[in-house]
Amino acid sequence: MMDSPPILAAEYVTKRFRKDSGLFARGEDVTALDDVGIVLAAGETLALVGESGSGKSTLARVLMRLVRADDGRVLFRGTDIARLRGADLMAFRRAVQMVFQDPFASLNPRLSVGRIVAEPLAIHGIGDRAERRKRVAAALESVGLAAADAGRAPHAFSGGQRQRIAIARALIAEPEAIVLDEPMSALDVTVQRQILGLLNDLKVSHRLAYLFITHDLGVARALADRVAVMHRGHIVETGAAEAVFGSPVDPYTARLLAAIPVLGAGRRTGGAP
Amino acid sequence: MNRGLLTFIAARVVQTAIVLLLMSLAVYLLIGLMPGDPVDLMIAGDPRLTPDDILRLRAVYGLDQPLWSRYIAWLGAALSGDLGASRLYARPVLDVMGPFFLNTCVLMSVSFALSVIVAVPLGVWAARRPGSIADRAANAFAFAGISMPVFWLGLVLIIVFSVLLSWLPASGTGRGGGGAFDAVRHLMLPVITLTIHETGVLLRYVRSAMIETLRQDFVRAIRAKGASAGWVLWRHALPNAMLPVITIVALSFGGLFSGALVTETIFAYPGMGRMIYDSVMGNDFNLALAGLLIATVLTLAANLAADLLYAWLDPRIRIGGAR
Repeated sequence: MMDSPPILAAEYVTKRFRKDSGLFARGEDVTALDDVGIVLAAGETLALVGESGSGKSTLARVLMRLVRADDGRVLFRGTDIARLRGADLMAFRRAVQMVFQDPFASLNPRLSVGRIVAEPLAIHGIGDRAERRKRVAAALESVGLAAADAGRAPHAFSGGQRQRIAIARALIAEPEAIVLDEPMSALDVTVQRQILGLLNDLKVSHRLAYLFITHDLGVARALADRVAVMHRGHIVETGAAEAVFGSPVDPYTARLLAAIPVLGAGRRTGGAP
Repeated sequence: MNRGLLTFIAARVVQTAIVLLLMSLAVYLLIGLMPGDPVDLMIAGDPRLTPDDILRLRAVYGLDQPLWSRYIAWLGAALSGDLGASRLYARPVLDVMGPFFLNTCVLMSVSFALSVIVAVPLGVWAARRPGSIADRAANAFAFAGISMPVFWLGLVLIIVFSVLLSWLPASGTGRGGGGAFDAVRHLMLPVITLTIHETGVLLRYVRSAMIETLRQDFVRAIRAKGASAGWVLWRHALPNAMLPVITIVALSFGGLFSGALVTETIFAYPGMGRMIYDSVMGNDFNLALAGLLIATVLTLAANLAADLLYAWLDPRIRIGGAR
């Protein structure tokens, strides 16, 4: 598995944003990502942790080619995504899916659930009407919803159910990797656990790689094979989950571990699981 | 249609009727307070009238009654469908108003359709890249359209296209012998005047609604799935952005009507604007009242239509019920 090029890799990625400040003053640049490198191999779950504002979401957007990096490059199976065109670009768009943080904002309110979930098939021209309906039903069932839910509108669903819909939309294209940008932070704690369980099951059944962005170390620990810690636009520490959580090298990671209350906080003192 | 929607419609219709009643009272009182009445004009026109004649004439027109009782009498007649006769034209008000109303409808609907056809694609195009040259150009055009007063724009167009270039007629409808082509030629300048103004207003709303929508996560999600820019704009962003735009469009209908009144006066176009102006100047109370009330009805109807359209387009009402 390690021989073939990784699904996604960021190399020396830098991204600056210009802060708008007033009508005449030229805004200063804010560096959201500074020389960032990460690798996501097939089938693995990489947790990207860090406090809010550390650049996690910006990195996700750069990886998805939603935002262009100012410097460095992102490789999809070894090819720079900025150079992807036509069929190659569509292959990337199919193989790497994204689930957003706020399930109330990430679904078009004017479409039925069925059309929302079927959209990747429509975009990529996969299947006819009947085929798509069958696939939508399967995708909805695989995330714990009913096939009949396809006829409803997103507003009829709770936050957790909406996130399931968003996950079904990501699954339907049969991706190899899913970038999950804080997929549970908008949800209640009990719902978070259910989604966590669902993601864990899907990872195995669909052989998925996850780039799991979170500020919740408990969640990262429960799901991740490897962890990358981000601080002010830098990756300060990367390593196997047990190693990072058990004996953090970087002082920021240690502070993060000490500062954030995690799910099942009692277990944390016991060292590496 | 569900029960809630029907209740909503019924409530809005009742509301509209009440507003209309209040408007009729206000307009009637205002016209009654205007200095001079039809008999004063008759006196000015015929110096041989004796004081007895004048009293008799006032009694014939009901002008010896106090204002409020005149209003009650007018309202009773109006509710039974009789809006009275026009003094200037010596014909029933509705007969007089028909052709004027039709002319205004033609002017308004053509301008309105054109402004939608121009403003929606232009607004979407501008919103694609806020701050780009395309966006700035669209913005400049919109601001020019909003800022130029209709009467000034109309005059400039007359000077350029009628006086200097002699391409288009400056006034009238051209109906009555000139054929369809001539009628269209006569419509062009008034329509262009109104359209430029209306397009400016509409363009601003379409642009800002689109920019707002394009910032949302679901648009980002669709782009991440590989959708093309056109797919995102037309299939996802525009339908969502149109919701607030439709409300604005319907609400601006009243503005379009008053703009039409000004435009008609400048181009000597025989529409409602000209008719209302002439009837007020000629102390033709019944005609002025009917004209102003029709304007009110149109505005209220447009607002009602906006509400209903909004309710119909709102996915929370349109697709599926509660879970």
